[in-house]
Amino acid sequence: MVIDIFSGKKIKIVKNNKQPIGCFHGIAGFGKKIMIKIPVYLCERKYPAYFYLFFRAIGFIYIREISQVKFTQSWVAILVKSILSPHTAQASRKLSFGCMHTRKKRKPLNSVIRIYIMLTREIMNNSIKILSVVIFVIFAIFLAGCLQSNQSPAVSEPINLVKMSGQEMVQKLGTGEIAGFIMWEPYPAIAVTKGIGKNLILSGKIWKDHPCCVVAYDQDWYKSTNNSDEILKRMALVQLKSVEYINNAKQSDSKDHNELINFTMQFGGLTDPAAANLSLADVEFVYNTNIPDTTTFIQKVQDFGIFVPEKWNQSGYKNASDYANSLVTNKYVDWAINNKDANLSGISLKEPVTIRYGYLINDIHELPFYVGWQKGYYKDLGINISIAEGAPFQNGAFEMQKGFKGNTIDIGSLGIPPVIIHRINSNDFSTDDARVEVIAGMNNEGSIIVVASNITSLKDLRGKTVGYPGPGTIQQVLFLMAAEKEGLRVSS
Amino acid sequence: MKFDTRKKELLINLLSLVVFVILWQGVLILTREGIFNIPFIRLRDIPTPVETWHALLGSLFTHINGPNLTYGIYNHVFASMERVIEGGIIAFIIGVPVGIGVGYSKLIGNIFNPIIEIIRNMPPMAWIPLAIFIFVSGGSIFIVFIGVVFPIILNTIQGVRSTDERLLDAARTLGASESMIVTKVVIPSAFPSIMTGLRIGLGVGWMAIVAAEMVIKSPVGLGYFIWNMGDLGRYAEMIAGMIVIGVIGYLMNISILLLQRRFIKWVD
Repeated sequence: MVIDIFSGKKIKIVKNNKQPIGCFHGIAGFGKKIMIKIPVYLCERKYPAYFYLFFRAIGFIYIREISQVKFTQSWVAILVKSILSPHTAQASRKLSFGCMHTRKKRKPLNSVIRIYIMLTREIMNNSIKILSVVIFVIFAIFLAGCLQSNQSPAVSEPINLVKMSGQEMVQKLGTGEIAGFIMWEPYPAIAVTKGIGKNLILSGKIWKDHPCCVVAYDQDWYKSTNNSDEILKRMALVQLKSVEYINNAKQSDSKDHNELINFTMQFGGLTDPAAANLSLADVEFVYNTNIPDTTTFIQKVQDFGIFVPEKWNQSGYKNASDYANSLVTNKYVDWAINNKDANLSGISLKEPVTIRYGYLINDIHELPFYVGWQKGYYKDLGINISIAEGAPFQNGAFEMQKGFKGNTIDIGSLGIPPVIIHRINSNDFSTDDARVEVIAGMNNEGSIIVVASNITSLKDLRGKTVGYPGPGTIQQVLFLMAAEKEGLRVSS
Repeated sequence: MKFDTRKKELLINLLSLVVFVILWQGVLILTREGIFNIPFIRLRDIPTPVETWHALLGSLFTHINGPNLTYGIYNHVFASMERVIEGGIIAFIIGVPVGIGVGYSKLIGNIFNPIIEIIRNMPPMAWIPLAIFIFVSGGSIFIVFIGVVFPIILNTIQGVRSTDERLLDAARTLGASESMIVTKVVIPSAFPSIMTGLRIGLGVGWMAIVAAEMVIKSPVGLGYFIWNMGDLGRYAEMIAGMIVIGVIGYLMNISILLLQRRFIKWVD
């Protein structure tokens, strides 16, 4: 009687000497001969003998439960006997030595050739299995590659720019997670007044009087509004007035100084007047823009490979200055300068309009907007400011894509590089939905590279992590320019 | 022509991919010509498959423009994969013993079950803020760990509990000690289940790593890459990155399945 231990069925054996008969093993000690079938695939592998003994024990219990064999002895005794009997020992040895297979005799071969033949046969037979092993090896190589790149901070190691918010930068510089950051005011001022970091390079040192934030309008809004030119003229005038107010109130002996410090603290989310003072000192507020500086920026952005080449070709601009000319309009600022001292009631809009205005979060560069809003300069000229959906924005790139392209902003203030980049990269040239134009400036300079106290030059930042507000922001372009001067590489 | 079923299936699979790509291209062409439009969705901005392919080829390797070094997708894949593997290994080392303990012993089960049942219902993404605040580095590995460890624990428990009682009885009959039963019977029996847990877990971990890299900042990583490309308005590269994420997730799944078949012979 033969019992399959897995199905529990009794089966018959057909003996055929030419084929492997599988692994059958008799248990000694019974009146009838009972055989247990162990699946052939278990026998194909040379497991140690106890493995088979183990299976036999399972089979034994099976038999006890399902067979009609009457046990004359206690079954533990039978089991012990069966294990100890010479029959069993022999059978187990046979099992563990290759399962009673019939084997062909092989010709003796050179062992190297034999291994080679075995390997090729293995590969041919098990291509899928080997594929899986190969994939595993590739994983391992991946892993090794990563570990290696982490272990050796080479001399040519780039500085790693990592996008984060201003609060994160200050916090992470404090915990030592980043070695420094480049950010707009007031975050550098916060880090310095808290004693977390020190100023390494002011952006004025990278490029003297570089333009930074600007006021820009959305082309779609311009086309769909009747008196848009008139509105833009007034926007430029407010800009002029706010900038003049700030530049006047910046002096510590001015009567408006305390008011300005309050505005700075409110807009910048500051709690420390010292930080407000410090950040005001680093920013140069202006209302005009100029084409040569814009051209330089465009040229830099192009050199750094930030434009999508196909999009640049689609745009049809011949070169950087061509693009700058179509980007920047000075006529509104010119009008504002001429009408600086005009009577308010004379130039105020007859019918007040509402402008959806977008700006950046806690950016002291855009203080002129906040001053004009809080001091009612916009209202005086018949413009109601409503904060655009999604404002204040995390960075200029986001404001361009979400606000201007998504038509939730009419007029907004942001850094000039996001305008330059996204009027090309994010623009759909069949509808020109991301087309914005710059009408006035906000400020020059005012971004600072702040570092931990153990860093003395930009070179020390190699292989370290530096925070920045995001790809395509003015801070990225400035940092790249600083690195270019020192011959360093920056990854972003 | 005569096809066997396997070939037929493969053919249908391939065809469905091709049809999907053609549909993608077709819809975009119609949209760009102004024929087809869905309100509130800026379909025009989606890159076509051809553009995506070019973007993928273009961004596969590192570019250097003056000081500006842009890592290729290659490096990002390395970085993400490293985090997933590290998180997966830690999860395996912790998850398997916990699962065996909980599954094998009623007492340990009663102690740990309530904790596991509550924590496993918190998605890995819910841990991201905590990871940002408490980890100086390696926050994303922690997120992967959270994603991987619970599928492993649950599948291990399930595998241990479904161990054949007869095998246990047999082992006990032969006088095996508890530790021998666990190492020689329970673990081999539960191993396929553990591998299934690892496979599911790495799938979850791979999704979690992409989300974690978007929030937890590091200079390389696929999640970071697609977010960065979106910020630069390079939507084609973004989509290419997304496709790479999908393909690698698929490959990981497949390779673990194959490994499972290679090494666990005793399960059909």
